[in-house]
Amino acid sequence: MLFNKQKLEEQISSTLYDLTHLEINTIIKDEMSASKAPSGPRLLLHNLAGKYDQKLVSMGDKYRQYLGTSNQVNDENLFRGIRVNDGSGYESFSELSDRAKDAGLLLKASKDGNLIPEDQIDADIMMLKRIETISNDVRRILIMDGVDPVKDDPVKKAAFNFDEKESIEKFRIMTSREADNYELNLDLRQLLVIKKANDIGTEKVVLQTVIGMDGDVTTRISKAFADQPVTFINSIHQDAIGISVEFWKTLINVVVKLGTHIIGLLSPKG
Amino acid sequence: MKNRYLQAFQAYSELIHSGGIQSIAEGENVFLDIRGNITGDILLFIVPKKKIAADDKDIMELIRSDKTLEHERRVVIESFRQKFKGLSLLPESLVWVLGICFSILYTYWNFDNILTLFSGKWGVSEILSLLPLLLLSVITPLLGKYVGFNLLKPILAFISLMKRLFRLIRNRKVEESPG
Repeated sequence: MLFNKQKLEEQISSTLYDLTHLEINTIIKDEMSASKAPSGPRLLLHNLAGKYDQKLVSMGDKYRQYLGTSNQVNDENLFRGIRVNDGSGYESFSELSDRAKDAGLLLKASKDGNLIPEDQIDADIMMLKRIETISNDVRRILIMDGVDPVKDDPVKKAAFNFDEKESIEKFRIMTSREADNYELNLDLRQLLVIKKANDIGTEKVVLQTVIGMDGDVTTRISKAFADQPVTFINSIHQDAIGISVEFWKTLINVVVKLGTHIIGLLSPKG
Repeated sequence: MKNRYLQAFQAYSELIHSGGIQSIAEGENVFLDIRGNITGDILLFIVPKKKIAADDKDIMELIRSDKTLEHERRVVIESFRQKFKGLSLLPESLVWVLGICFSILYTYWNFDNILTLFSGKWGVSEILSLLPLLLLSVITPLLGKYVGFNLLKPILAFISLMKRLFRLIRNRKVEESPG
């Protein structure tokens, strides 16, 4: 009971945070993907898990020359390690989160010990932190009651294990009617969280502005961009902030108008 | 007005198909890709047209040397702004319709009071009755996005249900077709 209360409080506070804050991110991407992002949550999650997996592998390769140890198995990656779960279920994200956490600790310790060049290490530590945090957010969503039909049904659970790649491949070729039986039941907010995580993926965020309803405005600037700012990026980020605030203002005005109508109707008769 | 409804239709149709709204522009060296969702969050991507060695400095140099980018920025921002305006039209229209309904009900329930007000005989109780309005104007901005978001939620849920039904019907036709 206490756990449920705590869970409810956590859910309410995260919902309120989401809906009382605006976030504008400016991202530099290495290349434009020609393929469209999947629309279903399961495949979106699989896409996301793939991006995190690849990032851990590439970062592991990058730091292997400085940090590689002799007890590693030949094809074992320094940060990703051996893949126990190669799908995108609860356990897969748990594994990604743990590996990112360990890699982050290793990088921090090496930074303190001056073992590796300091060029990009802060940005890489932040990236690992992002993988860890988002993976934990995804796990929190997946474990919620009623979200995963496979988790709640022993028959489906026996047939499908979304922590294995094969199950995802089987799911991918199902007709939409069949797939609906195994698809995650997410509310709109949860879907937005996953979609946004997939959109940002492991790309470099150069500017991030968070505007709170209490009037707080926080802008984070990546070190690389702060060292060599580009006026164009600042201007377009500013434009995006303007549009976002304008939309928010419109929504508030709509609600104020609606509230005025209701109160006008319900106010005591003189 | 007709144009605004067309914008709204386009924005919602895009929202249904991709789960968000998006505007893309192409400069000499880079693409600009802006994506937004119904809570007002925006992701702005700057992507080199050709895959280059992923060095931040090279990408920044590509942006600096792109002569068409300023013009493209204005175009893409304006297009994106129009789409967001389109999105806000639906709740605005809903409130407008609800407002008319409320006004009719209010007039019906308070007809006597309205007559008194017009005759100039109103006192403390009438002024006190305005207090809820004042309270509302303080509280609603704080809850605005939450309520505004929830105002859109049932509409989007309905649209998503329609989309799912459409997909089921379309898929059945494909399965039943010969060959």
